[in-house]
Amino acid sequence: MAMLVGETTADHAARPPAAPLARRAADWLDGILNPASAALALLGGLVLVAFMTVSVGSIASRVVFGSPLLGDYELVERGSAIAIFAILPYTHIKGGNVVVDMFVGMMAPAVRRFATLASEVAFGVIMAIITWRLALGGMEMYEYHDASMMLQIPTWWVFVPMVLSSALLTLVCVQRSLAALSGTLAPSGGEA
Amino acid sequence: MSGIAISVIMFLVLVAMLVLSVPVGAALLLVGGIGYVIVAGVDPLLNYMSTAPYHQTAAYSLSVIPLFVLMGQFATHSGLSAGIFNAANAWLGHRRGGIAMAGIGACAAFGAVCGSSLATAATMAHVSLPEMKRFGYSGSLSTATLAAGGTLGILIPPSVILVIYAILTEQSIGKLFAAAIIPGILATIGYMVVVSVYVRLNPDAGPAAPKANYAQRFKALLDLAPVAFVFVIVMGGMYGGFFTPTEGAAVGAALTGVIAAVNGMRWQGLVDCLLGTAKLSGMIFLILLGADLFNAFLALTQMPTDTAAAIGASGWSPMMVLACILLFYLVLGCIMDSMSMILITIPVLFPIITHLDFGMTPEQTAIWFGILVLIVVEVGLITPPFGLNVFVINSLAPGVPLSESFRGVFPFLLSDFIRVLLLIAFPAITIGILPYIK
Repeated sequence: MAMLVGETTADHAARPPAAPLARRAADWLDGILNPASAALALLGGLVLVAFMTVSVGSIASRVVFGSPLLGDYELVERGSAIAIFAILPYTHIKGGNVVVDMFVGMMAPAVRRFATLASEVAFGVIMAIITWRLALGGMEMYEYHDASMMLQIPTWWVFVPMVLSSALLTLVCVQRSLAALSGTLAPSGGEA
Repeated sequence: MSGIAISVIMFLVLVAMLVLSVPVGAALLLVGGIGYVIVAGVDPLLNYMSTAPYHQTAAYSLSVIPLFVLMGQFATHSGLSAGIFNAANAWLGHRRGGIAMAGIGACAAFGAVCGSSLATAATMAHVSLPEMKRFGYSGSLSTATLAAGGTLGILIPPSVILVIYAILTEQSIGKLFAAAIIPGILATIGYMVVVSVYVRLNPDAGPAAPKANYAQRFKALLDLAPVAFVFVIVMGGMYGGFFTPTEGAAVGAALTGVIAAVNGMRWQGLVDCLLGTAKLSGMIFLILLGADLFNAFLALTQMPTDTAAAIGASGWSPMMVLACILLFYLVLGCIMDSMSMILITIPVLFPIITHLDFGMTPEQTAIWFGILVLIVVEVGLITPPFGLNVFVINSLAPGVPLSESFRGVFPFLLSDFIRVLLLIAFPAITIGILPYIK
């Protein structure tokens, strides 16, 4: 087995045999994507708390001043689009998406591995297409100067975080495909 | 190829993917996308994808879902669960099987601030399982009680599944919540009766605990005050027409968040709540996004309306059709989670129900059907072989074999079936409250 440059024999002996390329790539990507997804999910959660506050504030304003906050519905809607996309990568990297796991146990390990790999690759392809189309959709919104009714929030502002989140989810699918290829992917299963 | 044929083929492809353990949301996106291309072509799909994800998520009606999930997360971190259980226990614990009954009552009360079944079961298990163990309750009774009690979390409003049903069928969230209250109370009573009969037949399963005096009982009731306060504000505001459901959920989340902070939740707790909310909502919304595309494809084939019209014209008895649909959900519930089930099947099955004459207005029928579906899909959470609630509770009770937990669940299932039959026979139990709701 080839040694890396700068590696001593002692180092080499202490380490497990070099992992296959897919596994090393999956581990390396995981090291970046895991904290990135968690950070994005936290930001999404803070956006959620923010539009929760807007809603509560709007009620308070109705009670005190007799009129709701200007554009409260718009803020909630746009916040909800941003928050929802921001949390998707985290759910997926944590294996939190629901699968029907009744039949998995009956499959031969090779079939199971192939099914997991195929499903991660397929999901990744869909997310790549959605990312691409959302980016184009956002540019259209920019060109048409599409904006909200009351507060004139440009719609493309919302598309930017959505596209970034969607791109991160695509990368998460790549990471999970590599992990599935090397057989290190933990089975997913969400809680309903 | 006819629309029906294409949609049937795509349904089969979807089933094959689900069997191969493709995540439900991803499978829906994939099959829906392929079907869309077959029926309408590539360009319409690409156009759909460039704005539909925005329009689906930037929707005021949907924002209620993550808010209710957040409210449930705050509730589980709020320290309220111990107070709720102790209050119920002070009143019921001295009876035979009383601690189990208290666990059920506490699940029902917790369900009033939490819209998820699993969270309710797990949270209540943490406070009530040790108590039942201390007084020598059988593992079978204690785990089954909590697994069944957890389903009250989703039946008693707020309920995330009902919100999704309301959005899919364009019904009022507030009215659906109101209609679930009496069935929820019936379920609570039914489960308590099950415990009482069970301990009469097996006296060793749930011995009586010492009696609390009235001073202690009323003092314990004070612990229920925060939960009651949140429930009354959220539901009262919604039923009174003062809040939209989103505002109700926002107020509920804010109040439970404040309660959690007062009871000692700090930054780490907040981070846990936000990440927990993210994981659960992400799962819901991936399925929602997929189901939207899949249903857009189905609508293009006109399969749902054609099928509904055909069944409506077939002259089959409405009750027969309803019974078949509910049985179908019971079977499906054994292998699939309730969220996916509702999102995949309601767009096809709901038009069928609306084409049938049950002697009620369309709105009454829709709400009555929604509550029935909610109950039968939740039964799937406690039926073998994949009752998720039973797994979770069992994992919290080391030393209790899984088979014992599942055996303990059967009497509770019986109570569920009796309740479903009652609700079918007497729709007034569900829809009787509607005239009083704005």
